[in-house]
Amino acid sequence: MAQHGFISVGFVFAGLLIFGAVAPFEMIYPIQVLSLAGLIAIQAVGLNLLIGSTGQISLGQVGFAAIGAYLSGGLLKMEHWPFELAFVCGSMVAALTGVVVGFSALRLRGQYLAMATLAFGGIVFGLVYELEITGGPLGMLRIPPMSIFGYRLLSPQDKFLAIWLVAAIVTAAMLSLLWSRIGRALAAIRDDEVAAAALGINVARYKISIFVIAAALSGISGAMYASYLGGIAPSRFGLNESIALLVVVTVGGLGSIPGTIVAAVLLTALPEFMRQYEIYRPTAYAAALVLLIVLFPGGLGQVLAWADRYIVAACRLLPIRLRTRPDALGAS
Amino acid sequence: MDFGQLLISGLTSGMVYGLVALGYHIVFRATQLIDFAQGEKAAFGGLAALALLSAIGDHPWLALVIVAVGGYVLGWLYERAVLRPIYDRPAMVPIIATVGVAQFVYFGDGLIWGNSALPFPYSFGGDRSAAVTLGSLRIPVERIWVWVLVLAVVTASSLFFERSRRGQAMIAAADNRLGAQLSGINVVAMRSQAMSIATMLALLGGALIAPFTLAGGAIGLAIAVKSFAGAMIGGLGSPYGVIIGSLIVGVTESLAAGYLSYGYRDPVAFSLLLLVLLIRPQGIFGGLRARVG
Amino acid sequence: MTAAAEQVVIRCVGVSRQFGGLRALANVSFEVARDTITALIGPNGAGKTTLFNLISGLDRADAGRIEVHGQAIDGMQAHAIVHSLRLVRTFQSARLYSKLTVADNVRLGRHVRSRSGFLSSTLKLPAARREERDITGQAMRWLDFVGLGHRANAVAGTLSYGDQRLVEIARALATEPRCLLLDEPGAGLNAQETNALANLIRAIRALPMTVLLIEHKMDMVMAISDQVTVLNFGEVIASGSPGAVQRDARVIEAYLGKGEHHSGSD
Repeated sequence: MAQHGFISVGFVFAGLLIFGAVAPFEMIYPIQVLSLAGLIAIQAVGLNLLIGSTGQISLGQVGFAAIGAYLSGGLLKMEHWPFELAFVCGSMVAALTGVVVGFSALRLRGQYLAMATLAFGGIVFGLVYELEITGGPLGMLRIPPMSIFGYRLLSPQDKFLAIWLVAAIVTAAMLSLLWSRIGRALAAIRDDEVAAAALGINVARYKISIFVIAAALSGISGAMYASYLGGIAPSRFGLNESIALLVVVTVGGLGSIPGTIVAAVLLTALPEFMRQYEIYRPTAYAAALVLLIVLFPGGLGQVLAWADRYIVAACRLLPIRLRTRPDALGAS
Repeated sequence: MDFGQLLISGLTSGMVYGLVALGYHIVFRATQLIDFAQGEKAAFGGLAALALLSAIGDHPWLALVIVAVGGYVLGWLYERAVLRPIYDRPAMVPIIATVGVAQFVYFGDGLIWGNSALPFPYSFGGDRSAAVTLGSLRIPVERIWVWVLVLAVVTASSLFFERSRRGQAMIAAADNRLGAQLSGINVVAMRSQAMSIATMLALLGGALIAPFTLAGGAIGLAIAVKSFAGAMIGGLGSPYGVIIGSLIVGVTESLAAGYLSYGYRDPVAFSLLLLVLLIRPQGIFGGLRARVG
Repeated sequence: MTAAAEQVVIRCVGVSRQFGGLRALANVSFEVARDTITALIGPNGAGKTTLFNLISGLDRADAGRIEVHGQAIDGMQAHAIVHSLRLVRTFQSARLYSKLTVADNVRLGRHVRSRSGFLSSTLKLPAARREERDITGQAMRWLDFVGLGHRANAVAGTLSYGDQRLVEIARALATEPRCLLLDEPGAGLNAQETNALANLIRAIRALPMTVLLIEHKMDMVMAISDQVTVLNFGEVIASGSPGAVQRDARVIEAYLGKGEHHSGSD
């Protein structure tokens, strides 16, 4: 099913990429903040996909990010692998772990799955905290930066663009996936699993596949994060980070990928402008989480959907012809 | 690394997980929901008790009563404001909402009391140095009090659900809402009372363990998951089962901390949860089958 | 497989299913012949939907054997039965996706016969796009077949009850079955709609298709069925032509004098 708001979010991406390309050096701080936002966005898209398209809730996504980060970082630092290889390796191992977790997840539903994924995240955290090879509580330092075909991404702009390019590709891919027969099947699974199975849809295979995709996305984000910061510590992969992802997904609106992107940007950038209220931030976020989920689950996705409708309506007024696909915007 | 001491310590934390787990059990029986905020309520209980005792002086039992009453009221508020609007929404909504509440309480606690765990210099069992000696085992009297209290609560709750009309009504309300309503049971009131009781128990549990583990700190979610593990191991539908399961968790993690390393405490406990969910979700005693999958 | 065996699409031998203390099905044996309409009737609670659940793979029998096209389905999952054995069922309460359009619901039926995977769907490769057009084409074909082509873009939840059941049938037909199980398709329909439904089921049989249906509307059942099997308290008490079953003493007794005209208001 087409995701409402995809036009508006397209503008957001365009804006971000242009910003990254032309921003002067004095804007290094916003660039850094938005880079982090991009990394979170990638993970959040995965989580949103998981919850929104198959109804599986995972509170342990950072566990996959940790796997991607530590593996990629370790291979880069200790084995001197090229970034491309380490990155792929980290992401794939995260994805493979996703297969195992995804299989187990089939046997659990709703709240039990949430608890189980919480436990999973906690186990990964505990392991990276304890084991020597991951550097213990202090983590891994001096991780080599990202590089493509030998060109090392050292400037903040380069890193920003790399991150947001990946985010854009991931978003486009997920939107395309959801707007296909597979996306239809996923919606069917989410809304009525039994009916879907009775129509011949292999529910298990799709649930696992989406879990793997979400795990891979977290792994990708983690691997990039390790090289972006140059150092990682277990505290970056704790429970609170998983909850922060949940906040992003909820603010973005469950099931809305465009909303998630904007939410990631907003929730990462906003605190920076309100530094003096920093200590209230987590409490405020938690309160927002509860209020939104109870009162306004559509979240930002809803807002973007409205925006899309205005854009479409505006285009009808102007002498611009939109290629209309009859089922494109679906039933609301 | 004295096995006996590890055992005692594990049994005590197990008892406290049990109290929180009992809360899960009650909430589950009355609403079919799992409340992720149970652990944070316990943490809050410890901090509240500390604040109370600092304010009113060393009257531990009075503090416990105030905590219990406060817990009952907060539980009512919680059900009214957060849970009642979302009973009929898809499964992920209560999860997110209760997780949100857990976070809110955790960070709220941080705002009020700071983020690090605080020492708890009071005792609910009288003289802290008093102990009973069984052979080579030295069991502090305070711990015995905790055990006695927990057992009393479990028995009371079990009797309540099995024998009393109100308890039976609560179970009916969760099991079959329409049928219960047709029988004249006020489903909403039943849920509300169940949440109040469960919250009270969680706060009490947190207060009781504070002397042994410090108050507050980042233990809320760990307690939530471990108590849940205990509940599942024993069987979410069985009041005595959740206690026994929690004891198993407490002892296992205590032994892991002693014989392996302190950092393995949490992973071991969490692994127990995964094992029980995947291998035997109905737990040891079954009871009301929780349909986990 | 002998020619005779090919003529039997569904074979149940000694099938039993128990729920706790409740015996839903006890030693049920019957056959459904190819390209026929077989009706499964019986008072409420007789076990008919339970049998459907067993045959379609949503539940497993405690004892006995169920064969579809000669193959035992023991342990097969529901989606595999639709995919490999080409047997599909509808539900008593039309389980449509009420927020999706009618056309999208029927497109879901085509999913099992489609092949484009994650990669080609994401990249929108030509093969995937072609397949999507085919899916739409087929969906419209089946919607037209049940007479609802003009409502393709309506939101499924806005349709009348009777129309929703038709959409469900179209969706099931879209999976390209060789055997269609209909669970009380006539429930809640008025006389005119029931008539139209009877004609539709006959048209389905002519596709060709093997049809097994659970139904309470006796006039329709007796009019269109080639074979009738009667369940009561989980046991088969009669099986044969409509006329023979109507006159069967045990059947009459089971219905307690309600005769062959059930008011159809379940």
